[in-house]
Amino acid sequence: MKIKNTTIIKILDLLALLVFIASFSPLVLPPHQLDPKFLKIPYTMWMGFAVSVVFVLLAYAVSLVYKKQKDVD
Amino acid sequence: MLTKFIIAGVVYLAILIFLVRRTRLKEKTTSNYLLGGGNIGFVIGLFTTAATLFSAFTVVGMPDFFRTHGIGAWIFLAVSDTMMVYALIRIGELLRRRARKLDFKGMSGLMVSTYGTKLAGYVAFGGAVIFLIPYIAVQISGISIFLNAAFPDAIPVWAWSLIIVAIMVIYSETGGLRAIMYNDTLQGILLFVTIWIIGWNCIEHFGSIGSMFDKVASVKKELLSVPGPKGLFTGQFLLISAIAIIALPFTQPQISTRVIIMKSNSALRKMAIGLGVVAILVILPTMFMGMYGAVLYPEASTQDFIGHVLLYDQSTSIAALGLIGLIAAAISTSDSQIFALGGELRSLLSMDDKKAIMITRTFIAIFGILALVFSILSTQHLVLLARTSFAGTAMMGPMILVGILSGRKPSRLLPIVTIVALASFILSKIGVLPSKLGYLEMELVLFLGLALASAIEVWGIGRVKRERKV
Repeated sequence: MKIKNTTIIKILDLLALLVFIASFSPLVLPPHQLDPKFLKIPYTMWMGFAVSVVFVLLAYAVSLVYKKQKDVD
Repeated sequence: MLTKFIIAGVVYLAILIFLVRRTRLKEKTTSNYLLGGGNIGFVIGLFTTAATLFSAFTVVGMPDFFRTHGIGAWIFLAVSDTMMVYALIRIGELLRRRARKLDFKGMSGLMVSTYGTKLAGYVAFGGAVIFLIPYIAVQISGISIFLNAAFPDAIPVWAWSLIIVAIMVIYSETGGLRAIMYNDTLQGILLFVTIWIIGWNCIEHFGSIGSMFDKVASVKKELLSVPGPKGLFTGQFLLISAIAIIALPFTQPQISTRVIIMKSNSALRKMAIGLGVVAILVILPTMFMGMYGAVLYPEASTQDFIGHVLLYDQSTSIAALGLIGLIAAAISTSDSQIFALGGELRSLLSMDDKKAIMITRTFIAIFGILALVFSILSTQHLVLLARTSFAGTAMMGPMILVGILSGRKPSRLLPIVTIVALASFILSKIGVLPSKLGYLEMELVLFLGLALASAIEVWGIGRVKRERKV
């Protein structure tokens, strides 16, 4: 089954919105909490880094859909 | 070090002169002078946007922000920047389509066309001038004070400011946007290399990133979590900052112009993703520098700390490169902002192109002088003033986005509400209005008000208009 490009973009937007909300919630910003650490890096730092990478990946995914859309057009 | 700095400075100036000569325009038109010919490829687009975005506030302000407030600074800038990249790809193409259809000369002119009223254009122009001039000024003054501290017997602070503004105005006036973009590319590379060499040296001091965090934890544990030792990084503070930064490509004219003049949508998408990667790579070494400062110079003033991390703790060659990188960072952002203000003014002028360009060039020089005067008067609070500038221009975001995205001419509601929001924001900053309303920060209340006005415009007024049409 082929998923429409607009549906993929909606899914990506929803994912971006969820990560956006999570970024300002205690999931990424637990007050005064350093653990769990990853390679000795404190929690908010490595989670924040992961969120940055996720947003770049989401942006890349959207750009791929746009590119595909243009090829279809 | 003075000799090495002078050598590096002369080489840097020689390259600037070479680039200006290459891009010098005999016949200046809006298209070639203000919009750089409107045909910018991905590489130049990436470097010029990055150099415009990552200014002295990144090189000087961010290490100090990490040192004082801790790792929450990563969320404040890096996370917000990558969110901005997503928004840029999603809305950038629509902005380009609309701008090209309406013969884009500047965001203010675009607002006049989309709203069908000059009021919207004046709001966009006024907001840009009010919030960009002090930001430009504080960057120039920050770097000038720093240069004066590095070479106390050379020349006074105001003379450093004068030199920086003179360089900016001369090459902006001569070569236009294309000259600025080539210089941005040079400055972007210089900044990137310098900041990584210094960042790497900071990690080497500790041996590894893990040891660095261990050491910071032993000195001040609060730096490694939010809200940080001074309680700055609350969810609300970070959310407001993120909204302000996400809106940058649409609300700060020096960035929106670059988005619009990209050669193609494909170049824009590549540039945006590159910008996300560069944001992570530029902010990461500033975190290393900040953590280094937190351990070695916890009580030092900003100037002392930056002096040590960029100059005195480095070899003289790196220090000279660091100084040039700093000047380059301040220039590359400030000249783009001054030039963009000129472009905004041009977009509001409806007259013969030659005459309009002449007026614009005069005003670019006036904006430069204004920034110089403010820089002599202003103090250093780089990051927080940058944030105020971002948040201030972000107040125009809903008006600009509705103007761009709406298929019809919107009413005057949003320009009027934006004026009220801008005035309230300024009054709260100078202490006339409270900075909080109940639990909510004033900026958040204003953003909510603007969001409500946008909803009324789109689903209320817009719907009535559509039904009447039917």
